[in-house]
Amino acid sequence: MSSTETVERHLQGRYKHGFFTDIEADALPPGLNEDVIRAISARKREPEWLLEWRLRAYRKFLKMTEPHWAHLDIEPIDFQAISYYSAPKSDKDRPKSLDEVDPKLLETYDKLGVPLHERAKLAGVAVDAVFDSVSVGTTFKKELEKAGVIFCSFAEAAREHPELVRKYLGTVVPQHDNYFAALNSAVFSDGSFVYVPKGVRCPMELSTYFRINAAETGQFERTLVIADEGSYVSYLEGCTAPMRDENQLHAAVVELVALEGAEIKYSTVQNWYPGDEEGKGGIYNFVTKRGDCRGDRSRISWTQVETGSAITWKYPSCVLRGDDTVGEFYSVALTNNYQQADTGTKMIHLGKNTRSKIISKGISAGHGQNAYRGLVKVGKQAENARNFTQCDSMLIGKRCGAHTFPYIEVQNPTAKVEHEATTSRIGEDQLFYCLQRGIGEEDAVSMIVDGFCKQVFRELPMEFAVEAKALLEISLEGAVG
Amino acid sequence: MLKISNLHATVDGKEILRGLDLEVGAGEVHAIMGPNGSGKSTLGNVITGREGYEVTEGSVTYQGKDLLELSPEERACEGVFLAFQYPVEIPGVNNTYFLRAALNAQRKHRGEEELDSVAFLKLVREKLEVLHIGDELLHRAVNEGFSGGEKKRNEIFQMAVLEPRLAILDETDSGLDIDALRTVAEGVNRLRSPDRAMVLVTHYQRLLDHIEPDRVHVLANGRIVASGGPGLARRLEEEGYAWLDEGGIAEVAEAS
Amino acid sequence: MNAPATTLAQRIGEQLAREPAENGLPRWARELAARDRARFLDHGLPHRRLEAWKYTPLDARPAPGEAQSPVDGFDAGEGVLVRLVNGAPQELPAGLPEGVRLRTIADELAEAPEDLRAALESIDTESPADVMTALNNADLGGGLVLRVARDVDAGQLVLCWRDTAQAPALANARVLVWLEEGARLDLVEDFAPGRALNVVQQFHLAPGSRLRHARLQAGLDASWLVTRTEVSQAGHSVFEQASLDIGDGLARHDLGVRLAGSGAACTALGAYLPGGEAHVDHHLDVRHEATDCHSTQTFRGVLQDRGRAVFNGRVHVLPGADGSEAHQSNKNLLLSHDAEVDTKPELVIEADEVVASHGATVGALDDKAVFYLRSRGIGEPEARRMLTGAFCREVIEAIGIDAARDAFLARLESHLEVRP
Repeated sequence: MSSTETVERHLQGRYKHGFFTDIEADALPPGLNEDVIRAISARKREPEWLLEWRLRAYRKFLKMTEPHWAHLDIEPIDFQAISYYSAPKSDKDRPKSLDEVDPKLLETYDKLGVPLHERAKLAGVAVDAVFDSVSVGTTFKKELEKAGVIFCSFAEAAREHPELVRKYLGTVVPQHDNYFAALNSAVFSDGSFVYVPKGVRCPMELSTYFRINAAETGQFERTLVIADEGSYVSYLEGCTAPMRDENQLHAAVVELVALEGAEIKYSTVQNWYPGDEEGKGGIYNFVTKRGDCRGDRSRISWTQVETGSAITWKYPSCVLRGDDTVGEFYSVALTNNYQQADTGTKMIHLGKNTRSKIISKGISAGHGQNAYRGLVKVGKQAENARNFTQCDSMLIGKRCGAHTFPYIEVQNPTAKVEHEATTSRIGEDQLFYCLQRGIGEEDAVSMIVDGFCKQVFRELPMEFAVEAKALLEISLEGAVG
Repeated sequence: MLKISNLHATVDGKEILRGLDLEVGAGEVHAIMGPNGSGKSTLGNVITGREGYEVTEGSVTYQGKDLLELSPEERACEGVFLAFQYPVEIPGVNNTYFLRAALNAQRKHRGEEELDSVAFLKLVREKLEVLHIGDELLHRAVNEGFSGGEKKRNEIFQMAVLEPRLAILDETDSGLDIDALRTVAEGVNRLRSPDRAMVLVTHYQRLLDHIEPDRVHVLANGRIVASGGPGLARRLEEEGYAWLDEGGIAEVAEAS
Repeated sequence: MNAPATTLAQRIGEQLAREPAENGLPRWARELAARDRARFLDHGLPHRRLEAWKYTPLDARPAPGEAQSPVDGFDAGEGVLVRLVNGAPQELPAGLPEGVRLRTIADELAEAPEDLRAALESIDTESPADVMTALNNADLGGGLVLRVARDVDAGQLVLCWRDTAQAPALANARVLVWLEEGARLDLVEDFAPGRALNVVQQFHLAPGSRLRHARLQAGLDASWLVTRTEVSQAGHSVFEQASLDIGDGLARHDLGVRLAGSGAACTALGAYLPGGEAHVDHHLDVRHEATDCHSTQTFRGVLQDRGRAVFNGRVHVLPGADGSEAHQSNKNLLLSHDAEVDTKPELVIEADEVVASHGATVGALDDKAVFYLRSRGIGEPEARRMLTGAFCREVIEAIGIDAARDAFLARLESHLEVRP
């Protein structure tokens, strides 16, 4: 291969979601104060109680201090330099249907591979797309309505279903849970809302695509999923952002509530812009995700593939409150170049006969730093709790790091908790075996890495698994040699 | 086809091969025997280009090309195949997928069209049938959880699919029961052809009861110390390697 | 005691003020002691907001007891025995083998050798998490220094730690060991504190030396034993530590190992069986700084009554430490509804040619195994005792020092008899 070809290939392969869409935006000037929060609330035509809720969160936020983490290297964030609201301008007149949505926006989603309009409806996935701060359209609305499933933007839910939002908002992740959750509670712009009624099996996968487009903007979406008794829902989210030199902040909150016998599967493919080879730019991805297995026999399963962001800090967790509840966490986190990931889960066993399973696969390449941080807690009353954790790290190259920090706290003698972890360099003998059969080094590496992640990919819906695999390959480019 | 001259190689700074000469022609089957630690496995690793094996002197020419100049995958694409003594497990990577990736990489290298999964599966089934191997191997991850015998059979199966020009079988007979040994030997015999050379590296005569080699070489202290016909292997079996140290070398050398 | 002091920290503060440690010390040592006394008074005892003390907040514990230790001690057999009462060494033995020098730290300080100064100043005490070491520095002067010359086998040294009714609220002691190239030492410690004892140990292993360290902790009810062991290992040195904790009080053990020379190896074994109100906390920090070093940690815990165990095992492989191999295992049997285990095995890996693994489990006895034994005619309590014993014996049987292994096994058996 000639050197020009190599360069070209490299450029193409790098970050394929790095385009920027030129759309006129209605944005608030940068800055954070009560007026900004009132302005956000007004623009979203929110009920008074929600504004009050936001302001309460903001006052708590002011009293908190930004956390410092031992294994993350973070430039200080200037919260006054961020714009907390940016919406495509056409949103002012609120598109009534997808046909009225700015065609440029639809083009953007086309580039992202989001099946937003008719053609893609064949794919059978209902999509809510959040562009900067605003939800721009939800497909399959009618079909979902027939089943009684509510799937809409958070702002719409606050207006149309205030009783549900009021009942559940902030009950899984309290406003003051942590610094970024408090910030989100004050300034969250939009997000998705899902309610699956009693006994309903949601007829299709629900999906949200998040996109940060505008510069100097933070994205603070809030997602609330409620699965009522005996219901089932599978929810997918994907995220991308354009390439920019400065760091952008993404501080989301996701709350899941599973009532008696309900099941929620929540899958994420996170591909926010990771910054360039020198570690310049990229998204700070500070996310609080928590599921509450509130009713007996409920089940929550988190699956995540994290390849993007300059810094990822997230611990999708399960509170196993009901008896016979199940929590699962499947994760692949890849860090290349100067990316840092600190991710893991918390499994809080409170009910009787609760079970949890954690499978975490970390891959570090380049100067990437990858940490698993997890907590398995078995409370005094949690008879017969079971946990199995497997946590494997793979190192590719000499300058990366892989770290494992599991906390295990057990207060009940009937518990059975098992944790296993391994760290090793990508197997030299495996690589040579592939090479000896004629497979090139990069292909061999992605093949081995893909195999390493199999247990997690298996948990993803088919289309997502394919995307996840492709993402890993792109993210690993240049990691070998 | 393969010409090795005065090959010296070191591992971790320790010289293992010390002036090895070997010539293998197309269509020939050679057996290399020798006591443990004589450098048998090193030879296979040097020919296939494994990292950590440093050639300090000598040359390896394969079909007129300097083999030592090529990367491991280029050597494989040129038709050099090593059946590993300890086949490697690659968790999560499906055996069929792996083999198709390998075959297509080699076909691409030769300027041939890549096989789609239908055509590939057809080919694979043919080979399985010929080798009397069940197709359960196809659905599992590469060597993962395979028994010793299954791993060795999988190596022979891969060889059958990839159809190399030069195959080196490193202790393929070790750890096999008699049935598995027969399957392996039969596989090898079926693959014998006028344009394919094979090198069997082994410690024992027993594989050679099933595969008649054209030439037998004895490797000791990093050099070929004796060469002969199939009779040499039988003598080694009966008398062990010790007599080689007692001036027997010349004797055999004269005999051959 | 008539003193108006209410908290232990205040009592210790008064104790430090009453007996200034400066007497007879060289200037640098006086400065060190003064600095760290200020640090202790500033920070106070470790509290739960410090990550390293999260599960063992000393400031929230009831004050240590005031019991007198039993007189009996470990049978040193052919070895040399030193008794330390209230943290202070009693008569030092005469007739040590040539090349072995054992002195009190006060005597060594009078001569003030440079390596001693470097060692004492090497532990950073700025962080409130290291306040127990600061306290130890503030009360400098008690303890032992042992030096073993090149290629000398010093045999077995037993330190028998006991408290009397005259012990201070908290006693501090220091043990420093230097092994020169190829030197060998078996160090056995028998701790039965009745009050509170805070020991800092520093072991320096030159290339090719070997130190085997076995530690028994059988503290009395409400006693405290806080130990910190810092080991620095040069190339191809071997350090093996084994500890058995069967006391009724609180024990906190910090072990820090620097594998600083290529080919060094370190093994840490531990069994702990807290019952009653006992509390055992192991914090390990093993740093692989050089190539081709090996480390293994194997810890087993059995918890009964209101017993509490904490395990925090960190293995850190630094950049460039290729060829490192590190394995860690922590398994716990939780046998009571009021007991608690908090375990946190950590791996921090910054080199790439590394094989590292850790595993941790918490569970009850395997019912199937219990049933199997019962079906062979063994009564249930006996079956449970056998299985519990087997669970711990695995690590105790791996102790290299014969006398210590046999004695520890015997203590383990008798402990299990009392607490089936």
